[in-house]
Amino acid sequence: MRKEKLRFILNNKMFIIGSILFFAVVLVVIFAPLIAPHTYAEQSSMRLAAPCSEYPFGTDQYGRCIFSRVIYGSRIALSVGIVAVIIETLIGVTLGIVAGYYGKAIDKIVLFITDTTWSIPPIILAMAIVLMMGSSAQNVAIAIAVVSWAQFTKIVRAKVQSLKNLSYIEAAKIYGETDLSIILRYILPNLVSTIIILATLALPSAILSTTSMGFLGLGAQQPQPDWGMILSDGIQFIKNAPWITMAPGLAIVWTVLGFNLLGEGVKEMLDPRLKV
Amino acid sequence: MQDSKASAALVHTEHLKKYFPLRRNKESAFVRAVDDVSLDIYQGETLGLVGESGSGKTTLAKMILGLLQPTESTIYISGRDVWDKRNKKELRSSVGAVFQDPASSLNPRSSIYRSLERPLQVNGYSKEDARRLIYETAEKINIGRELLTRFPHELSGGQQQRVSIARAILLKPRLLVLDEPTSALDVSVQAQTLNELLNLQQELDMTYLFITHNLSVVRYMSDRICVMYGGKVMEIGKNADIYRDCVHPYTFSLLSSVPPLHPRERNRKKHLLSGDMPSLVGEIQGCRFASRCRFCRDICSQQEPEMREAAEGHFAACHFAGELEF
Repeated sequence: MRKEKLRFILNNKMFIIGSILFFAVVLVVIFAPLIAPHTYAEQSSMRLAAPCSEYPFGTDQYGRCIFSRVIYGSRIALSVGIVAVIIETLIGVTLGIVAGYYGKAIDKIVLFITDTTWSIPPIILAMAIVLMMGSSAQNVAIAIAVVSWAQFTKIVRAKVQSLKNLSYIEAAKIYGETDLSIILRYILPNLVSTIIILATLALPSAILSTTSMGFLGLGAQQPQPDWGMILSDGIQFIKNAPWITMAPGLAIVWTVLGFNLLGEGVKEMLDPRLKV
Repeated sequence: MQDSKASAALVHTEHLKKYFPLRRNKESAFVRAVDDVSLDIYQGETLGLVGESGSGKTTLAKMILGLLQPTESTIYISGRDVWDKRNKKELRSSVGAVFQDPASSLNPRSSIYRSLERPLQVNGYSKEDARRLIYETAEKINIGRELLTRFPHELSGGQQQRVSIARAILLKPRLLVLDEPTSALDVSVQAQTLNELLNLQQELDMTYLFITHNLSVVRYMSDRICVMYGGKVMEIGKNADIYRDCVHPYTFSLLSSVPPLHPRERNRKKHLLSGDMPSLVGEIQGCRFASRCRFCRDICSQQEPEMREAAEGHFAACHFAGELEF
């Protein structure tokens, strides 16, 4: 088994590239203070400076080092993204299991809520939630989770529906397992790979949503270095100082691409149906 | 009289019904999966339940196992109502089940030992007692100790099925429901499994409800045979009654469908059925088998046949039971 997985990893170039991009981001997050030449809020007299050895991506209109801000910004993007994915996993998986396992009226209610959530444009709903609760990184994470748990529910529900009719679940009912222990001991362990796949694939879109919210000015507030915010600040200077928008843009593409490739790789590795 | 009958039988059902509602119409559209089945399973016997797909065998078994709630009536095991919540705890160690597909019978995420330990743990055995009992049972049913630490996907189909059997008998049930336990196995493993089941039955004094559509297996295993068609019992009787002197035209056709084992039997009388089972949705007038029966007369499509006793303990639901010449 283990050898097989190792061979799979070595043969899958996309997975390797994804992992390299991913670990680079993780290293940047951990060692941000060591990598960044300045702190994210430090202002200098050089405003809108072009890239040079002191400021690799130039400075913004307040004279802050763009490179350092983007480096520190990875912390916001990643932490908000991860918190959002954790919350949406909890909501989505719980509802999916309950709907799939109990069926009938509960299933119908959950399905209705899921479909309703799904039919609202996510960014608009997230904006409404953040505007209601106030702009902050925390609220952005909650808002993203609230708009995007539905796909977890749909997939988990379908999986549980097929699991619950398997003979070992019926046997467990016969020897007296309660519903709760069937869910926790028999169903949940068999959902782990599905949940990991869903979560790794949900992370890049959560990060994208985080930066979108930042771009709209709803995320972390100044002087916090949110990638979306740096982008939107830079747009007005895009003709004279394109590096301001280029740096966070590249960072977003790097991170999202890395997570997407990694997610696809994990999916292929854990989902036996795709194995040839 | 009813009471004495119920006490002699381990499992007793009267006019048991299971209707599955259909979604398309809100009212009165049901699939009559099991319709008015009265059945007794006696202590220590093996009752073979045969019938084609969709005849209600598995639905009946699931109701007996307490997995499906009957629409009407209930099941008594040793005189206790299976669907009475107060009896649940007591009854759950008195029934066991082995299912058709060995691969899905075991939790893929649990080791074999863990899969066997869980039923004991749930029913209040201590770790040491459970260990002793698992080793004892594993030995009885030829599961080597080295297999216990493995996971289901590392076992062969026959081994998986033996583990399922071990799990079913751990709690020393009085009734073991075997739902096509050998149909997914190789023929050589089938024979071995069937013999093991017969030995276990003697050793542990169990009653078997053996569900299958394999007629040679049921002949080998059963003391009595119950033939179902369209959710109803067509004929029930001792093994020999059914195989030599069946009186229901459906049973005759069912037995005709088995190829003869000996060339001498090549010219035996037989009659093969064509067509399908009638839809079980909606009210059915008369006998369910009427549409495919070559002896069908007016009365058959108008009046539902009652159970008639053809010989002692041999019943058939046919207006002309015993009068027909096949």
